[in-house]
Amino acid sequence: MSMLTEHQQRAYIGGQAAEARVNLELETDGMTLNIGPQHPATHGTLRIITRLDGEQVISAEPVMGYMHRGYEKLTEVRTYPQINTLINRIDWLSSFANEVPFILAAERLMEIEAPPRAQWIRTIFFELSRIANITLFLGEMGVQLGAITAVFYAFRDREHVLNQIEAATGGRFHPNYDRIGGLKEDLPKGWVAETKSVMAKVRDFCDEMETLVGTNEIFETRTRGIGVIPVEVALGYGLSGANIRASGLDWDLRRDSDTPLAWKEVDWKVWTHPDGDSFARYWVRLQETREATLIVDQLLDGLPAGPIMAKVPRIIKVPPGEAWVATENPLGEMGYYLVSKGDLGPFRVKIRTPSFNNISIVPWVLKGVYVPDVITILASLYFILGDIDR
Amino acid sequence: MSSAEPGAGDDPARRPSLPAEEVTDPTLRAEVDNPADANVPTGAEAAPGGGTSAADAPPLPAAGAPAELSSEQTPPQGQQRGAAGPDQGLADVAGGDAGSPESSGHTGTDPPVPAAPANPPPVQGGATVPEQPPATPRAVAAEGALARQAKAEQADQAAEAAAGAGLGEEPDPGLDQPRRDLVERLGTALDGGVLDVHIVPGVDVWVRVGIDHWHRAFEVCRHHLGLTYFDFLSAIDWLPSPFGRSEDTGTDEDAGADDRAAGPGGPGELEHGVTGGSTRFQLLARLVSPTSHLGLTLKADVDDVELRAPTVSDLYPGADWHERETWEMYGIDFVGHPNLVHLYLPGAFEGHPLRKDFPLLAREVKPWPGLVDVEAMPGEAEAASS
Amino acid sequence: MGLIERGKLPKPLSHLLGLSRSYSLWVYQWGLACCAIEMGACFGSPRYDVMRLGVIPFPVSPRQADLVVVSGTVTDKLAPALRRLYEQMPEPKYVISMGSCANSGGPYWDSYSVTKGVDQIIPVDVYVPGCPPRPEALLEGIVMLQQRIRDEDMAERWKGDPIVVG
Repeated sequence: MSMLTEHQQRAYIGGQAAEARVNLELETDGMTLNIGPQHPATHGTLRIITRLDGEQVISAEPVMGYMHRGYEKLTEVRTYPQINTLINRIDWLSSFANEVPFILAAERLMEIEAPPRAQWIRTIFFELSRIANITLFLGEMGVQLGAITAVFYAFRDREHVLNQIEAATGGRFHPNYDRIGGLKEDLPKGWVAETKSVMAKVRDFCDEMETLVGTNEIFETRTRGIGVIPVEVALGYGLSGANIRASGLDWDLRRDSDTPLAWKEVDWKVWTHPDGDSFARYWVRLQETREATLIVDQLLDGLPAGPIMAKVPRIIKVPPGEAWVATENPLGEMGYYLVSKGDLGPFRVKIRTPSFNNISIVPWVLKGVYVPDVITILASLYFILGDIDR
Repeated sequence: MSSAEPGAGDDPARRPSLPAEEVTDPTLRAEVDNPADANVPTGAEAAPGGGTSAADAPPLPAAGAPAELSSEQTPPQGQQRGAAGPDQGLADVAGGDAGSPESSGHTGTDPPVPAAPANPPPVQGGATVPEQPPATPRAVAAEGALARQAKAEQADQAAEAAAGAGLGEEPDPGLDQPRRDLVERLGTALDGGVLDVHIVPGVDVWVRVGIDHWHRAFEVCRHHLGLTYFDFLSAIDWLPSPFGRSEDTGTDEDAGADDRAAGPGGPGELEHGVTGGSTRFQLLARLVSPTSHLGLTLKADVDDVELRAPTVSDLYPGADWHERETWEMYGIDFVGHPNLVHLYLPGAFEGHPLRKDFPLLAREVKPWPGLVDVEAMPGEAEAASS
Repeated sequence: MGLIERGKLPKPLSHLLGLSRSYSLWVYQWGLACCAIEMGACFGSPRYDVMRLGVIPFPVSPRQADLVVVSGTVTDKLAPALRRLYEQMPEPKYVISMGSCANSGGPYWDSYSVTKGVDQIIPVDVYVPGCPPRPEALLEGIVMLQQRIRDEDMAERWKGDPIVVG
């Protein structure tokens, strides 16, 4: 793969330079441009040091750690319920989705399984947090490209989803709703009908975004063919989620892995796009948001009755063992490698976050692009700083 | 999806099976194709097992059951070759049949190979001939003597597998043939590098390799087993924490939180996980196949004194940052890494935070602040006042 | 302006000045973590709409800002940048610390890389607790800061205790 990247990059840069005739005609000097650590285009505090030749990026090196909070160390001094609170805050836009793989890993080691109703509600909230996360991306992407309006729509319609999450869990942002063996509590009265109307609103929002941003001519010009990532490269870097589906790989852990959650019970589609460029990544996420609303609708229709909590001991102790559980989070594959020695807390938790791998491709993909495209590509890769730095 | 009406430009996306060549930059595409092809000869030279069937070697040489483990079938090989169909990822070119291990798993009956632990005859099935004899189980068993317990489990599993196969029945799905195939092929290619294997049927598989075979294992996974997706790389410090868990609420004490902290044999005794181990630090990495969706967790012991491991960032570029993180958090040096500098922490930071003996100073100087919020349970309050 | 700084302005004039300052707060958004999204909802969404309070959340540089909202986890690696940001702001300047992390380290109180409170680096006027605080809480913090600015005697500027919302 290394052979591939170097060679490919040379051809790529040479091709772009020749096409634009920038470097040949202007005889530009090199300079270093520092983007960040605090920059609107970085969704937080990511710093990217770019070496420029004129308008062209010769190399880009992300500098991270401005949001490193030491999660993996903290998990070693917390109990399982305390960790559940903590890991809500890794990817703060889809907090519930962070809880699920950890809880599933602990459940696997304890050899208990939550009752069906709990699994269905978990799936519903998983998809709700996906919507809450991606709607913001759909608006933010417009902001990055100079269309500020979109993000106001995104914040407006995201509130509806947050309201639903809050109504059931008590937390707008960090629900801490999942428990080993089930859920904190059942859904409130009237929640199902209300959520269905919210899903209709989100679908309207997706249509709105599609007309406002997705099919906008300027948007298309600025995103099509920008930041193309071939699927072989994406695999080597460990890209996941919509980023790799936008490169044409039909792989979704919701469908392709054995989790006890209820995705297999409903009818839905994995969206892919063959182009692998920034537009493809936007487009796939847009379709996934719409698909998520349909999943939620179906799950609400078929929600089984029954208990929401399996029988678990009052003090949670996980038997010794090792388990790896990953789920398809809004940003990609999120997994926990849980090592337990039978204590109140884990011995070691390796948190595999999607953004860390997704953003590790930045030095590769930014090589040879122009400065305005840096922002486009970063926005389309879509990362959350807490998810990179942990 | 009635509302999903993408613009005219989106039409290709409705046909995800469209060949990627039509849409991506042809220059890039050509460049992508060549190196993968170029990898074929090098990989095949170095890895006799990559192109061969798993039949010719007992790659999981559990001490107890060497012969049973080699009971892999030859007939499916031809089918496998055929099954390596158009949906194979490009990266699987070198591996040939790598992407669909399950296709080989349940075909036909398994004629048990006669027990020939010293030197199993190379089976010339399919189109390839093994170039070197596989490791003898005995030699590997000696190498892996450090993890006898886990091996015994493995031997049990193997014995079960052999029992099922020997009767010519349908393989029990609980034995997880696809994952076993994966491990056997890895074992063949590594030629004795596999020290220990742990399979949870239908769930996951762990393989512990010698640190000398660490890079080679990644190469085999990447080029021959179709595990082209890099998931993560990290490490584990098996030292029991000298600080305990620092839990000081009543509940935790009741549950005996700190009893285990020192370990059953006092501090310093290492208690390893599923595939055993002999050293304090253990590397941990996971690779996944994007076509069969099977994952493999690799482990390797790192020498306590040298703390050194070969880099795999030349094979999986994504490993670059993961190795930087592991270097920063554990102090494990990755030989050959292009840019081993701090990833998260400021340059002046001292220590390796994820080592168990790295203290969290805030916890040392003040107790768990949750203590002040503890309210007595209703019954307890009465008992205390009376 | 020398008169203002020395607190020698006649009472009606200083009151008028305080009133106008309180309703033209240019706020620099130093969004760091989860709280940044709630701050974004507060500043950028039509539902909470901070501009009706006379707070303008669009300065492109700290040089133009009167107020900075530090929302989220401050790490030791980031702390120097935060200090530099604060030094760039012109006087009079105000700081709102939003969320548990910025207030005290919050859930990362024992982490090896997190600064245990932004007030170790820069002086804070308003603490907004919560993890993350609701947008309404941030709005209340802003309103309380405006009250303080309105009644503020510039000579006494640093003698007051910080405000804690809630």
